Formats: sequence, C-alpha cells, structure tokens
Amino acid sequence: MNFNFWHSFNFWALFLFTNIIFISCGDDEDPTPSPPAQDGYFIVNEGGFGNANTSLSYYDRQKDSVLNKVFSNTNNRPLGDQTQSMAVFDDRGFIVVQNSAKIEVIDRETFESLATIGVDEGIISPRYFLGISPTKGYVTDWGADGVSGTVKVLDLENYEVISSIPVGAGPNELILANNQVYVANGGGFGSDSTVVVIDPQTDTIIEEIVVGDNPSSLTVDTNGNIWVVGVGKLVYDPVDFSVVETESTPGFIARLENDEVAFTLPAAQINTGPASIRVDPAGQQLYFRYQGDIHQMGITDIALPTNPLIDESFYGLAVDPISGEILTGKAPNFSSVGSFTRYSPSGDLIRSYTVGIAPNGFAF
Amino acid sequence: MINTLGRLHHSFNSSSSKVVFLLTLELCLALSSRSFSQLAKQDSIRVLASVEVTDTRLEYFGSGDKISTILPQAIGYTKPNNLAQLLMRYSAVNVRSYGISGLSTASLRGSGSNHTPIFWEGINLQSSMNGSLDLTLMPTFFLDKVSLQHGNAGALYGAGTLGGAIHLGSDTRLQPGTSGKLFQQFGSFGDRQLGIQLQYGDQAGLLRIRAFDRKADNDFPYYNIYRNREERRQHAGLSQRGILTEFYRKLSSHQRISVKYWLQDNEVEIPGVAAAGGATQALQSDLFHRMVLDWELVQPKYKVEARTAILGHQLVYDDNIREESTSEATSWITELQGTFYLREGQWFLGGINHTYEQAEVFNYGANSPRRNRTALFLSYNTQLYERLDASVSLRETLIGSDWSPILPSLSLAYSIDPNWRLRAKVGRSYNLPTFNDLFWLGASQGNTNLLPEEGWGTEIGLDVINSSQSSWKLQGSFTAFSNWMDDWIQWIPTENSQWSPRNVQQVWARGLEATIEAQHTFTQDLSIQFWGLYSYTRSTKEKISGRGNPADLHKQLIYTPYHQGKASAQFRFQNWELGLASNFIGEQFTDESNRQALSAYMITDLSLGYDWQIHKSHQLSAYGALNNIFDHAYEVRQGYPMPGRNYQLSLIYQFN
Repeated sequence: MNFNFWHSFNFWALFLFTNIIFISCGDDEDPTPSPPAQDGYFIVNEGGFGNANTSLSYYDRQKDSVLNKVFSNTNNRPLGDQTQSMAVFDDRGFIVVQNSAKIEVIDRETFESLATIGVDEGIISPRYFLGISPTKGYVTDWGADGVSGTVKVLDLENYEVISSIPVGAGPNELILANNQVYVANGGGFGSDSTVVVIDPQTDTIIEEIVVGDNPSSLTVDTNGNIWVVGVGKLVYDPVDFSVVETESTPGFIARLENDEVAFTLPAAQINTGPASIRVDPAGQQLYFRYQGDIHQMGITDIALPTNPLIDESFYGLAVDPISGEILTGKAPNFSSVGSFTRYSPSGDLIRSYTVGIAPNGFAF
Repeated sequence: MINTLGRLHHSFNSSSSKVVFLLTLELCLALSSRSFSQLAKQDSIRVLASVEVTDTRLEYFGSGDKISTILPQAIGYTKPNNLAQLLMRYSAVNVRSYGISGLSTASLRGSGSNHTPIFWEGINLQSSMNGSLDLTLMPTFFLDKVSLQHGNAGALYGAGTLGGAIHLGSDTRLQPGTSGKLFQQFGSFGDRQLGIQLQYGDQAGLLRIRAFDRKADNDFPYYNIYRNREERRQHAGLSQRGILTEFYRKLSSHQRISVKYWLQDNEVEIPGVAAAGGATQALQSDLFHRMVLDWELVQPKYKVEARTAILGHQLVYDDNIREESTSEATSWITELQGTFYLREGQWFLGGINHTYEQAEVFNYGANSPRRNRTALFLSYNTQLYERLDASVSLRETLIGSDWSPILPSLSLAYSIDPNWRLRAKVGRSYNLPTFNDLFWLGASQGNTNLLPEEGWGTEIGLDVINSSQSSWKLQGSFTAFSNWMDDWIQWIPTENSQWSPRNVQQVWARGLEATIEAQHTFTQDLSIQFWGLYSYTRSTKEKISGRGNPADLHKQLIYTPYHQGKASAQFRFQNWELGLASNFIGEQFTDESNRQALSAYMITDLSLGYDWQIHKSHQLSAYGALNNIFDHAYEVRQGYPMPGRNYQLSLIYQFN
C-alpha cells in the first residue's frame, strides 16, 4: 500500500472532517408547542431524586389525551428536581419542586411561567401548596434538617414569603376546611404525631391535635369532618436493622370532629400504613392507598376495608372533582416513564396513558 | 492517545528476533530474557509481540483481543489530572461521571459501570462494596502506562470483566543514576497541583518515590438552566494527597522482586444536582492503602510470577444531616502463575489466584461479609500454518463453597500479509453481586439471593499498519462486537416502597469501533501526529423479568451514547508543540424508557508547550492548555454541569 498521498494538508482535513461529522450528528430538538388548557388537569411526575428529570403532564378531557413535559416545552427550561405536588388556585398553577427548593408558578391555561419562588425568597424544602386567597397562599416546608418544619405564608402578588409558622416535623399535606387550615405533620426525617390547626386570618396556630404517628394526608367529608391517614412509625434496630416491633406503630386512619379525634382505625400490620386519602365529589366516599392498592370506605364506616378496590401497586392517587373518576399514577421504577390510569368510581378501568417518571399526584 | 496496534506495529516492524517476552525484557530489568528471545516465536508469526501491555497473560494468550494503549507522548500537553479525564479524552471508554469532581466510572462497549475492572500492577482495584473504582481519584501522576483490553476478558482476568479491563502500571525499566521531577500546575477555579518524583537506580535495583498534592475549588461559573440564572458551582471542591513508593531489586540474574506501596487520602465535597435548591453539605473522604509484592523468575523455558497485594479502603461519608457513616473494605489478593515454552510456537500458562474480601459497613448491620475466591486458570497458545495464532483459555473459580461456571475463551489472530491482520475472539465472563447488593440493610434492602451476572462476548477485527517509509506511519483498526449479558442486576422499588436489587434483565450490547493513528516526520524539527476513534454502540434490554419494567424492552441503556468520536492532533516544531484535541459524545438517554436525553456535545482543547534543555541533565518544560475553547455549556450527567472555557498552566523541571 502506498500512503504517500497523505501529506500535512490531508492531516488537518481529516481532523476537520471528523469534527464536521460529529457536529452534524448534533441534537435535533423537537419542542412540541402546548395548546392552551381549557378543560383538564395536571399530572405531577416526580422524577428520580437527584436526576433532575421531574416533569409536568396535562390531561385534556375533551381530546382524551395527555400532553407531556408541558412546563419545559412551554418555558424552554427543565422543571427541576423532584416535584412533590401541585395545586391549581386562582387560575394559576403552583408547582412545588422540593429538591429544587422552589415553587414554580404558571398560568393554568398557557402553562407559561409567571414566577419562581425559591431559595432567595426563603423556601427550603417545600412539600404542598394551599391557596388561601388571591393574595395569600401557604406552603408546607420541611426545613433543611427535615424536622424543623414550617408553614410559609406566601404573598401571591409579589411572590414573596411573608412569614413562617413553625408547625412540627415534616409538615406534609394541608387543607382548608371550616375556615381553618389543617396541616399534617408527617415526620419528615424524624417523627411527629400531630395535625396543626392554623387560623388563616391571623396566620397563627390555634390547636395541635395528636392523631397518631406520622400523619401524612388529610381530606374533609361532606359533614365537615377531617379524615387523616398516617403511615405509623418504624423503628429499626441499630445493629441488625430489623424492625423493633415494641417501639414501632402501625399506620392508621383517624376522623376528627370539632378538632378532636373521634376515632382511630389502626392498620393491621406495622410497616405499610395508608396514605393519600381522597374524597369523592359528594364527600361521601373515601379512597386511599394502602400497601400500594386502592381502598375505598364510606364516611359512615367504622372499620377499615378488608379487600382493596383496585389491587395493583400505585404511586399517586386522586379523585377527579368533576367526574368522580379515580385517577392513579403508576411508577414501575424511578428511571423510566410511568403511567396514569383513569378508573370509574367503582374501580373499573377506563384508560391508561403514558406520562413522565414517577407520577405521584394530580392538580385540578 | 491510543496505540491500538501497539503490538501489531512491533510485529510488523521486527526484522530481528523481537519476539516472545519482549515485554519481559523490560519488566525483568534486562535479566536473562535473551534466552527467552532466542527460544522465541518465529518471525513469520507476526502477531504476538507487544510493547506497551504490561501483562504476560494478555501478551501471549490474548492475540485476538483488541488492546489499546494510551501513549503518554501522544497526549501531548493537554495532560489530564486524573484517569477519568484521561480516558474521557483519549480512549474508547465511555466515562460516566457526576461532574468534574464527582464519581466517575468506566463503561466499555455498552456494559455497566462496574463491568470494566481496573488492574494496577495486575491487581484488581474494584471495591468489594460497590464494585467500582472512582476514576476521578486516580492521579495520572502515579501512572506510567495505561492500556485497555476491549471486550469480555473473563477467562484471563476473572469476574467483572464483562465490558473489558483497564490495566495500569509503572515504568519498570532499569534506569541507573539519580533523577527527579518537580511538577507544578495551576488551573482555573482554584486548581493547583504539586508533584515530586525522585528516583535512584543502579545495575541491580531501583527506588522511586513520587508524591502529589492537589486542591481544586471547582467553583466555575455556569448558567443554571434549572434555576434560570448565572451561578457558580458550589461545594464541588476536592483535596487530595498521596505517595507512591516503588522498589525493584534483582535477586539474581534470573530473579527480580519488587514492592510498591500507594497511600492516598482524598476529601471531596459532594455538590449534588444543579437542580437542587439548598446548599448541600455532604463530604466524602476516601483513604486508600495499596501494597503489592511481586516476584518473578525467568528461565529460558519458563517464567514464574508471584504476587500478593493488600488493598485497604476507608470511606467516610457525612451529609451533615444524619450521622456520619464509615465503611471499611479490605482485600487480600495472591496470585501465582507459570508460563512455559512447550515447543516451537507453543506456550502454556497455568495459574492460581486467591482473593479474600471483607467489609465493615454501618448499613450491613451485624453482617461483616467475607468472601473467599480461588480461581484456577489455564491457557494454551499455538501457531498454526505460520500465519494463525490461536489461544484457548479456561478459568474456574471456587467462590466460598460454590463452583462458578467455567469461563472459556478462544482468541485467534491471522496475519494476511505484513500489513493486514484479522482477529477474532469469543469468551464468557460473569460478575459477582457486590456486598452492597447482597447485604445492605435499612430502608433499602440487599438481596442475598442474587445470581451473578453472566455474559458471552464475541468480536472480529481487522488491523492495518503501514510504515513502509520511515517518515510515515499509519495504523488503523476496525472491530465489530456483540456481547450478551444476562441476569443484569438492577436496584428497583419493591412492594414496601423499598429498593432492592434483582436480576431483572438481559442486555445485548453490540457495535462497531474504528481507530486511526498517523504520524509524519517532515524533518528532525517538524513532525505531526493524528489520532482518532469512532464508536457506535447499541446496548439494549432484550429481556425483562421479575419486577422490572416491561415497557423498557429493547430500549437503550441510560448514559450509553450511540456515537462517540474522539480525535487529536499534535504538531511539533523544534522545541514547541501545539496540540488540538476534541471529543464528541452523542446524545444519551437519561431514562430507561428513552424519552429523555442529554444533548450531544463536542469539547475541544488546545495546548501549547515548550521544552527547554537548560543543561545536559536539566530540563524545563512549560505548557499551557486552553480547555473547552468554544466555551460549550454541557452536562455529562443530567443536572451535573461542566466548566466552560478554562485554562491550565504547568511547569515541569527534570534532572538526571
């Protein structure tokens, strides 16, 4: 073989050529424009913790279809890391991105970003948002250590934190009922057993109700009674990491009447307490996740249901406030996309849709 | 830069009897190897000789393997600080990294991050706890030779080698006299490094000591796309120091002994994902002790090598939220092997390896896992019809009280003519579950029922070399490979919202690799060199079982780009050298369902250096490098930004 034709020019030509090939193989972005949302709801995809791949999906009721990545496609930037929840209030969407320590505020119809309330405003480890008035909102925040939890009071005009109400360890879901705000202290990185009641007029705590270990989720029924579910407490032996049964407690469902515990139904086993309690539009039927399955009970029941309504493993649960459909999110793992499935109120499957990674909740 | 055809080059060029144990000549401090050479393979068999590879097994029984050597002189003046950067720029390795100071691991040919073990002086440095070695913590100042074995290498090197193996070592040539080196480097973002090397040698031995100290703040500015603003990377600093002592001694004209001790301490700030809001406080410190004792006997018709090594690793992790956790792992590896000349063109190797591993980890609870592995390995090499070189190897391991599957391999090389060579290989390997996979306790649970991962790999390749004119050298290689890996271990969420590892999938990795290297010497003062590689890799999940996600079937593994291309050029004029290096990493999926991807990127570095011979025995070199000259914003892992344009200035003083 004769390689004499190789001379210095060819050398550089080859180098440049290689580079050109590389460049031409570059990215081919295809941002799909998102049409404005008229009638539908959001699906929150938590993503894998630390992988910066959380996303937001939108279900359009008219078209019966899902739009994925609506935040990043509309705003040309990623949403962040680990979205814990979202709430729609006053035509705005409040997306609570916990590990990014921020709340992204979007227009509910155009998905366009309106503001970011973040670290600079005093957000640390936010969990759930609750709108109080068009100018005021609350967000639960775990704090840096995961045990010094607060409720941050937000100014929804200037998107600032006005004040901070210390509530307990790991404040989680919160609801507005009977003109009061109920905050479930889920424990965070520690443990807690209270639901704190706040007066939204004065932003002060008016009551602390001991309900059981690590209450994480609550809802209100048609009678104005508050239903709380807690995951219980797991204490591990420091040597062999087995569960110390004597110090651990099972999960539970409790009903609060007039800010007092009317009764508590403990779960059968330590380890897998109920979570994500929701109520149907009539305020009569309760749905919750227990050992991953969906369970249903009436507000007059005095015992936990023995059999699940839907026997599958779910990560997110909500009830459509308009249709009463049971909406579920399924996360096969935290590194591939999950699915969102609609079920009829009686648990019959309607349809499944592919969404983002780890769908953990919905916003209406 | 990779000299893929190192040994081919040698074989093509050897007109005299540069043959068997050529490397041994070097290793043995020029003991009695002449007799070996005389016995050696015939010149007509042009496939066995080798230059850079530091291992007898590969040398004599892996002629069908694709080996590439990173030649220090070809890297020029863009000298990377650590092994992660070196492999990223100058090898086919896909380095998976959590950013500039973060954990970096090697993936070859679409395999997993712990499927390419790293051997230092023949000793596997993979951690028994997590199966990997952080390439970021490996200073290039302590390494003289880096070579890569591509593809399945189970029969020759045992467990873990599903993707290939990386071999590291020191320069073992005997250099009489006293010499030394002082190395000082400054770079952007608070990067400063000091290195010192002193050595003394005589006809019978050599003592070499080198030490380094490096600190980097890595507080580079970048645009945080997650927070929509300019920021500086926070809490990404690192501080390292280490000492490596090597002692070589001829015991007789046929025997040599060496002792090496490597002590290194590292403190690394863990910056966390850029999308995270709060400032992380996590710190990790890693303390390594590595000691290897090596003995070699070379006789005309056989060679015996024995080595024993102790590796200690203490890892302290403190996130400043929970209690600090300390993990300690110790390995004791002992190996004995003999290589025998049977008759003309026939060689035999037999050896035994014993590896003992133990670990004390907070999250293993009361478990203090210990594992004993004893492997027996045999290889036979023969030349057929003067042009075909064939090796068969077998390895069988007793793990605790269980026998592993037998690992066979067949390695073939066929010389078409002095310029062209065909090679082929087929082999089996496996990878044992790590101690974390087996014994982790707490909110996530290890799984003691895990099976080893198993793989079969095949490849064919074509090598070419042309150096018909003394001023020109051109070599190239083309390889196609296919590698099946079964019972791939993955941590997945289980019923109780816990994470646990399972043997969930079968992976098929296949692809093409092409490399080219060319040199031209115009005059004594002017020369030019080019190196480039391209690889295409498909690595897909072909079966998903258990609680794996069936929707991920046939999808590409995450952080495994289809396309990789790397190239560099060096231009030498008198004492000046100008270098340009580029690497392109194609789009890579960041989720198992292949719906999200990290953009492709190409990074180009420019360097300029000058060597000044102050005196006959004193030399000063100065160089500067401008990295990422186009100031390209990129991430090597989603949420882990890399620095934009940055510089490095270095001074090296050497005496001898």
